[in-house]
Amino acid sequence: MASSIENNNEKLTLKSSDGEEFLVEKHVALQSTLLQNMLDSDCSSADVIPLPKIDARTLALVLGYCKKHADASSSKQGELNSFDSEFLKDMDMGALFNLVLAANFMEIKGLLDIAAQKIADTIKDKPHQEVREIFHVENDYTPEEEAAVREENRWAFEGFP
Amino acid sequence: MKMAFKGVFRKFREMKDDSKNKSRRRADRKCMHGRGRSHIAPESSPSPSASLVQESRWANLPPELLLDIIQRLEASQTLWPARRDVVACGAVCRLWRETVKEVVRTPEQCGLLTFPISVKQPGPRDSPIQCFIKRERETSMYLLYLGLTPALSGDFSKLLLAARKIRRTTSTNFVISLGAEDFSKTSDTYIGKLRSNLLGTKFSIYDCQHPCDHAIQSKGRSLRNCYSTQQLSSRVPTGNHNVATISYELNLLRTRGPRRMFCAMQSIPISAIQEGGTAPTPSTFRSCVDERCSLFSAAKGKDLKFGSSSPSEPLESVHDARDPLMLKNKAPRWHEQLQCWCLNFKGRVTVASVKNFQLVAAVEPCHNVPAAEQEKVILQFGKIGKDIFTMDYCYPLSAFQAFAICLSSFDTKPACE
Repeated sequence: MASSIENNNEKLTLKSSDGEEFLVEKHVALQSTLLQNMLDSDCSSADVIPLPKIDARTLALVLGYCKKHADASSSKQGELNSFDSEFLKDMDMGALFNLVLAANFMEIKGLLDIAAQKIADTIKDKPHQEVREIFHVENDYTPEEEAAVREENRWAFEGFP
Repeated sequence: MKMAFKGVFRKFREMKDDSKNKSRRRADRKCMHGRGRSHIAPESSPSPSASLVQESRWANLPPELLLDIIQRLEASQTLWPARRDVVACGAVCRLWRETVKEVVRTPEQCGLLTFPISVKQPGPRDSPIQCFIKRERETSMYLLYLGLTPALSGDFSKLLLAARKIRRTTSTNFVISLGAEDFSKTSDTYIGKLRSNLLGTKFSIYDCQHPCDHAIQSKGRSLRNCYSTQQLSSRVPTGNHNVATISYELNLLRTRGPRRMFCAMQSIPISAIQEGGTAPTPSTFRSCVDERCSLFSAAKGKDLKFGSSSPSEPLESVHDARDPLMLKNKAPRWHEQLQCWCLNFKGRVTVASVKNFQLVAAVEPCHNVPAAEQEKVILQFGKIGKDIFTMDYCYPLSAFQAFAICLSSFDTKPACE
């Protein structure tokens, strides 16, 4: 990790929730609307920008995505698309959750798009009990509501192979 | 810099509030003060406590992200059976349900059927919803499926409604249900029925739900409210509300010719097809028997026979808007070469049958219904094969109402032909 004081204008330092610092090129950081707004509002790059809630592992992933997109902005779109589809492949739900939160917080639209889409795809073709398990959502229905919901689901699911 | 950070810190604080994880919070604080260095994040270590952290975190998915995710799912799953994924999301928990209800639009707005309540909501205004009906003679069942034809949609046709014909000495009843397993009137799947008179010339459609329960989905209403009065408890004493009357004109001369039919839709005011008008759209299966409904009380007391409204009445314009919507079958034209009566079904009906029909609005000049609306085929029904019929309906009819009208065409009417 480079010390934050000697950073030149082209770099800035981001600090993860677990205290790890990342030296980032400015044009890479600009992929994040949050960072862009901070830089626009007269933010000196000598400061360390803390990103609580984003751990080092997630931040590394996020910056990897940003770097690819910042560097490839003028190159082929097809290459980026294949990078995007590979990027989230085989990612576990915990990492995906951290990533979508980070993308949301740092306002990185492209990353938010692919992460949210990946989560939406995870829900597909699953009964609600399974969705509950995957997302660890507590069933807060009363028994009556639960019965009504079951009835609704029976109509939606019955008759299909 | 300070200004910018102020905003960012506010954002951090908001994020912190929804977290219940104290160890994470401590780590954040350290970070804010710029003390901590290279701590190992709990997530990266696969200890049991780490998975617990994940569990609680998914539950705290920010509502705007959940909305985004469900919007994506809804937009991609437009065809059945994929559409059931949207229904499954609505069953996860209260927050998910609220979010799904916010995303899913009515058939009138999006042309798609999603929740079972969709069959009680008006169809789209422009292009009709295309369905087919299978008749099972041995079980006296009629099955309404969403789809173009059985051949085209095959096993993936969504069963919308099922009806069973029950002959009595004085009338014929068609019990209409959400499923083909249970046709008892106390069942949660019971939707309503169609009953004929002795001659089979007049039919009444009964809805288990009060027709003026047209609480159009309001954004601000919480799910708790929707549910507290909904289903089960309130559905048990099932009501029978006459929502429409279908009459087939008697053919006393016994000359062979096309049928003439009229439908008085007591639950749909004529204003529904006037400029800017809306049709009742229930948002739940909640029955509100006790709820007073001023909109239809005027129409209820009136003679519903076709063409009986007297224009000399006081408060004419008010009464006109509340008049029930009347539908009539489009008169077929006599085809000289083919020597038969013809209607243009635009390829959706292929077999000549006395049962085939197209319904359009029957309006009077004082109703001020746009010409385009008067021309529009609201419901069309016809034969495409042995025991297979198509049914295409659109606004302001619901699938339930359309199905019930079609069922009346199945019942033999010796006096009408």
